[in-house]
Amino acid sequence: MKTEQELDALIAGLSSELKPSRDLWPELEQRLAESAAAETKVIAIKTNTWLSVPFASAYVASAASVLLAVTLFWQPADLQPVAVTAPLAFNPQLLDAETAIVYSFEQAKAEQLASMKTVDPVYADWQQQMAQWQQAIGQVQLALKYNPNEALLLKQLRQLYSQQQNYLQKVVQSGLV
Amino acid sequence: MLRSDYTEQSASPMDDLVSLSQQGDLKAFRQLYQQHSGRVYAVCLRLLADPSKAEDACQEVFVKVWQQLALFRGDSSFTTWLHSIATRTAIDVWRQDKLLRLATEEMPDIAGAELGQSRELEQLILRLPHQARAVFVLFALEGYQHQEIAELLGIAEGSSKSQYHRARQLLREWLDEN
Repeated sequence: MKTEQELDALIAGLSSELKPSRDLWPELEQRLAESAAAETKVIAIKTNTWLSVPFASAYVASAASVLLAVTLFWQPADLQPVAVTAPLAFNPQLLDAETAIVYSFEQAKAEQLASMKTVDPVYADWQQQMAQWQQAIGQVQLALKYNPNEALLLKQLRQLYSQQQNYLQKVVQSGLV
Repeated sequence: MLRSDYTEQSASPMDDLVSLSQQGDLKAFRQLYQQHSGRVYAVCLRLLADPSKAEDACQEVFVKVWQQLALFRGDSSFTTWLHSIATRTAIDVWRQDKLLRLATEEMPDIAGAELGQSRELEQLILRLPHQARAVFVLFALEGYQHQEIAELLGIAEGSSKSQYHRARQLLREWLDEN
């Protein structure tokens, strides 16, 4: 049996940091945005005196007058079409929660598949296994179409992707041994 | 790395990032996330022994940090404050997990070649029984005292000590087997 000192030495050698298997930021950013939106909503509800019915009609009237004035008197300074300076880049930070999950897991999956060399015969049916998970993922995504941003469904989607990812990790590692 | 190691880490660039994040600067917050997510994820994974739950918990920690940043006054270093939120959040999930987790569940495999020689011990820690693992992680890796652990986990101080010794005993046995 290892001595206490040997165990202590091994413990001291453990890394203080571990890396998640995928980039968590896109999903996290989405959650931060949702949290900020919820906070704004609460503040708005708390300070809605100025949005009460008597004030609201005055706001609408003012906004309508401004809009009318702008429409009648505004002349565009330059009618030349504005050239598009840069193509729209795919930005995962601007995605909704479902797309952020799909994006981050699919990206990690692509990296795993790219690192795959050979596969141990134990995992000979890995493609069928992956397809089954994919089918389940598809069903959750279908449900999300009817209930967008449903927290439970999003959690289920994350879990399915995570299981698929863990399985794929084992398949990849089986070929590296 | 123990909790006491964090106190001197509060350098000026990090103070700037914290200050910008407090003003709602998401780019600054992303940098804070990038600097600290490895530590936060490590404590979550070691306590929860499940990569998926650890990832959820890790995100939850940073959502809480973002929401509570305005309350951070700098009485302690940012890393100490963040780590306290991380530990408490992971323990909350650990408590819920205590009721749900099945003893027969497959043990997770930690990905990443960067673990090197420590990989075996990392895997064995995740194999430890639920409570023994939590006590071991908090005492041996996070630097909490048994009295603090007892309060955090809602157990007696004596139980914390006995679970710690049980964990060490199991690890020594398992390391010998492998």
